[in-house]
Amino acid sequence: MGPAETPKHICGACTGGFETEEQYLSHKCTKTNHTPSEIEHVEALDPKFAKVSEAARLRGAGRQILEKDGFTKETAKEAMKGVSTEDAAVKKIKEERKRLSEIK
Amino acid sequence: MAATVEIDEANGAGETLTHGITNTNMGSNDSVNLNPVTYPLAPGDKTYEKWQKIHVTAMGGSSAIDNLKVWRTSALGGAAVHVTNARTTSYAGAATYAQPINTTSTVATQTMPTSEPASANLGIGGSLTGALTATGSSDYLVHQIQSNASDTAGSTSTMNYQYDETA
Repeated sequence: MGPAETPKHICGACTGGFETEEQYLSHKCTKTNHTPSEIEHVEALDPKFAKVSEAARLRGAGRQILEKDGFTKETAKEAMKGVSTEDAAVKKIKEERKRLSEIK
Repeated sequence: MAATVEIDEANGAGETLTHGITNTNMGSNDSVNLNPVTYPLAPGDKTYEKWQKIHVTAMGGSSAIDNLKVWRTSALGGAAVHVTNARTTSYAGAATYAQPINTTSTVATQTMPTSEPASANLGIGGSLTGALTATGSSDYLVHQIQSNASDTAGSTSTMNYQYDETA
């Protein structure tokens, strides 16, 4: 099925229009040569995406480590605030572990 | 592998959703990626609201996306105010789309943070503790700039959209 006459979904890159989100997600963008579900599509639109994504995964990984240490989900979230690099994540985890051991 | 995430913006009466926007320029027109020189504000006017979502288009092997935070960095021009529905407490739940307006927003009623909030301020499924475990979108982020009659120039600032990704 091709682009709809009155699109509800528009690809910001190639401006193709689609009736449904599923059609949008499965189209191969003529600007990026990838589908929107492929990371190459987003990286082509936003050169900073790789860095943003890495920071998001570092915070997620840090939270998992802290939760295994006994931190609550919310405390672990708060602890990883501002983390965007691996060094910062490691530093935060060490600080939080030290703080926890002092409390215990 | 990592999740694939984009920012989408809805416009018009029919909620036409443009995926993967590249800027959030605000002005006197309800359109995506607008040119603020073409659509400037008169002093004292308000921009059209922006209705935007954080959209996960692929999980990339990750199990969850959550802890959504939005904030603006850099000052606005003059005495302008930037308002939003994003907030860390008393979150009103998922806003139901309505055609963007350039009169005082009744949805965006709290000042946009200018530094990273301590906790999530944009919900998923109507809740600040919500998470996306499959492809899908956040609640709508609604925001508007309200200029002051004494303002004489616009400004350039950065909108930050942040999430945590768990393997």
